[in-house]
Amino acid sequence: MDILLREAEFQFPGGIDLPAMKEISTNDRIRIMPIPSQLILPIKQHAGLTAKAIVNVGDQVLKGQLIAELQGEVSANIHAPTSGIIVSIGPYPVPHASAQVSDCIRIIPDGKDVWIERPVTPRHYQSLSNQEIINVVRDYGIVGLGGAVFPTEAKIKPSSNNLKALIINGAECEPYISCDDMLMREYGEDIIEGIKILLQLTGAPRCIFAIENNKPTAISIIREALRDSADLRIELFSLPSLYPQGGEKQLLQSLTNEEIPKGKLPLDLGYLMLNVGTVKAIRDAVMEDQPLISRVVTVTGDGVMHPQNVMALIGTPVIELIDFCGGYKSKSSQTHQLIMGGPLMGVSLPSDAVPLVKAMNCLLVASPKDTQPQLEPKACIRCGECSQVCPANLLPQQLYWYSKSKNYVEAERFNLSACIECGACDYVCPSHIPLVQYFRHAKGEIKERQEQKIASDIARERFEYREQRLQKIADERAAKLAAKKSGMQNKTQTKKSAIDEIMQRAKSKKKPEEN
Amino acid sequence: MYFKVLSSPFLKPKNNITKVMLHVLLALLPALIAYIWYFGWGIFFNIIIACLSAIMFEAFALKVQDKPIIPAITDLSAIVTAVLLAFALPPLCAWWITVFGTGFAILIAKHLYGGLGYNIFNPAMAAYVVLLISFPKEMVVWLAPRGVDLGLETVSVAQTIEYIFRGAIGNAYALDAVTSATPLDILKTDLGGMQTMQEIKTHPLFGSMGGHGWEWINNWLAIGGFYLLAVKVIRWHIPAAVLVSLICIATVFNIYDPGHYAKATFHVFTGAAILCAFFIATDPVTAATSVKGRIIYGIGIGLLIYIIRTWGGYPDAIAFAVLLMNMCVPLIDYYFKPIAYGHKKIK
Repeated sequence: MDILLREAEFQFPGGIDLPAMKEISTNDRIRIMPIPSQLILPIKQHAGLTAKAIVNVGDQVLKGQLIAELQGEVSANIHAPTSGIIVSIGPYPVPHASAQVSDCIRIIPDGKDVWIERPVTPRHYQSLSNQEIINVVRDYGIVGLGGAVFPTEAKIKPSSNNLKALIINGAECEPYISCDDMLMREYGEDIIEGIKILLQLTGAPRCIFAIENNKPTAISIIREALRDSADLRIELFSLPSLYPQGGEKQLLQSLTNEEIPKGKLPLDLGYLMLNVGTVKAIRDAVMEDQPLISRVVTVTGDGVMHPQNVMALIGTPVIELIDFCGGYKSKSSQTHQLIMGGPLMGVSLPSDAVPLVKAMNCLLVASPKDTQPQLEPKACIRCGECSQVCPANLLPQQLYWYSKSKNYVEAERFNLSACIECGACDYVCPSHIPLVQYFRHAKGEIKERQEQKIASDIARERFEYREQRLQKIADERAAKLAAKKSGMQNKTQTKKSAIDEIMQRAKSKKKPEEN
Repeated sequence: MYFKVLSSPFLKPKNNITKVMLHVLLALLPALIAYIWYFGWGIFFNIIIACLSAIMFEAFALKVQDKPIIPAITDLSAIVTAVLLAFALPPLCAWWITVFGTGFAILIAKHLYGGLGYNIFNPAMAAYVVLLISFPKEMVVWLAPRGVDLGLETVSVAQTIEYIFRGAIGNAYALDAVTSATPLDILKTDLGGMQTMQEIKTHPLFGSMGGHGWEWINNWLAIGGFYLLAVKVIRWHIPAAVLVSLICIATVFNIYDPGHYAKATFHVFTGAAILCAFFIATDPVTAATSVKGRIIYGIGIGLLIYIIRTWGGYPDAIAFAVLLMNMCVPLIDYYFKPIAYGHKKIK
């Protein structure tokens, strides 16, 4: 049986053609990095609520042991990536543009790499109930590995019925990043197995596996794996290499021509979309009882000696990761940048003294050959190239005017909130205006204002309610008073009328005598 | 190790304004050569005068506003304005007219509105209209194109320079010996004189499609325009809308009464319709921004060109059509926005 490779039928608006730059990190196989000297695990590595540390300093932990527990509905567990001793729990620099510190659990590995007790025999997912699979996904700390690190349990739990299709995102459209590409090349069968687990779980009638056409090796390997699996529910689609093809909204549009209405999720349209890395993590959790304690990260860029993909433990210090790849090419970092993620949507890191986190799909050591320091912006010439490439069909130049002049009402009228901050407009701008920076700032301001508005609304409501209550009390009091008054009046009146009556009677008694 | 922190995206930008403007100048080059071939060296000197004065005025305007001078001059936008204005001027044109026009374009039409990116009106066209209204006599000094014998004397390079700097060649009467009307002038005056299209077209100034010489300049301009499309400096929407609407309305009237209304090809290949479609209407600063808006804007220009040419007071209408549509741009931008992602009305 031959597996059809189909082309995506539709296309999202805009988009930019970028040099892939992936070949520099795809020459070698994924290398497994040995246990580093220490592991630093932030207790918040996911979207949602921060997990709570459940170990203490000095505790001996085993590989795969739960060390921080999820809180609430949207959160994720964190596990010890190897066996060792907890040496500290407290603030430590985490990968963030503003050198943020956040609570981390630090483990000094004992080098024995002893697993916590796990079932001896491998599982068969066919015999697991949906609830059991969901529990595994939750317990083992699985989050979206495409970069958004949204807890996967929260995503798959509500998707158990009425799903039109499961979509597997293997687009990986951002330049330099190749971890998904390599994962598909080397773990194709595992990914297919993961898809089967998800198909069983969700009951989706079909699965669309989408890969950008600049990854022919990955496509042919997945095709091979599909042929072997003989599962007709899984369809393979190739996508044109066009940034940002891998964006959730753009991918859905390319495959189905459907747009997610404002404020809705793909799930509302009947689609569940997962990244290939997440699918592999789900498969490892279900089949091998392995929590999310490691991930593949692309270490690349002109500033690193041997660009490659590395399978490293979560919590590995970035500096050791770089050293594992041969270290930096140049000792001076003045002209270099360290970027978590890709060159368009990544985060610029101030220091390499941070750990590898679940969200880190790529570590780009960028020399001036790769990226460019921000140029002096010139006046906007309204060329409109930005709107030609905008995948959200916006008019970035109008948004720029309004963001710059702090006219946020107009910016919202031009649908600023639909901006996905992909950076395509920025890239094509001949005036080198940092558009995305303006949009981010404006979005932040709008959010703050909304929050302020909500707060002031609450305060106003509270005030109005209090006024109402006071008014009510005053009214009641006044009514009571009035009632009392009228009661007294009645009394005097009755008294008076009684006297009158007696007088009348007396008079009438007298009258006949007069006659 | 510590690294510098920037805001994403970090990729090298693909383009810059200088590159865009250089493409435009490059695209005008073949037409310039054709222009010189047919109408002599006048335009060449006009361009040099216009460019020098544009740089001067630009530097002055920036200096007065305390803005950095070098980045604004090296973006070449003032040069493009100057060159486009020179393309619109007659080849024999006194130096002070060119300087005055460039001054108006740079100082008033561009910098009084806030400089590059803020001007509402196309500076070159605004300046052209001011010149046309202020100096109607000087603005119609056209030469007969090469290869057309109207019994006029040809003008040498030396005479051209003499005219540009002295405002006369030899004595004042000699001017009549060398100048002629443009095909659009003839069309206008002769149609007014109750001649039919067929009779007018026998005039030696008319070529196979448009005006003699003009049609070749226009061909080269069109090729330059296609070059700009190929390098994505302009998009197809505005040129297509201008030309298609002009062709449509001209064809309708030509079919209705071929004796009084010229063919569409004549309208396209004479005068500045092609220059307008590819180089003037596409000026991004003063055009509409969305795709829909640009099509409306282009159609407006195409129709106005025909209306003013046919029923208006001036033989050519590019500048007026462009300025009138420039005025409509804010309105067009307001009403023709693309529908943002996720904002489609649900059926």
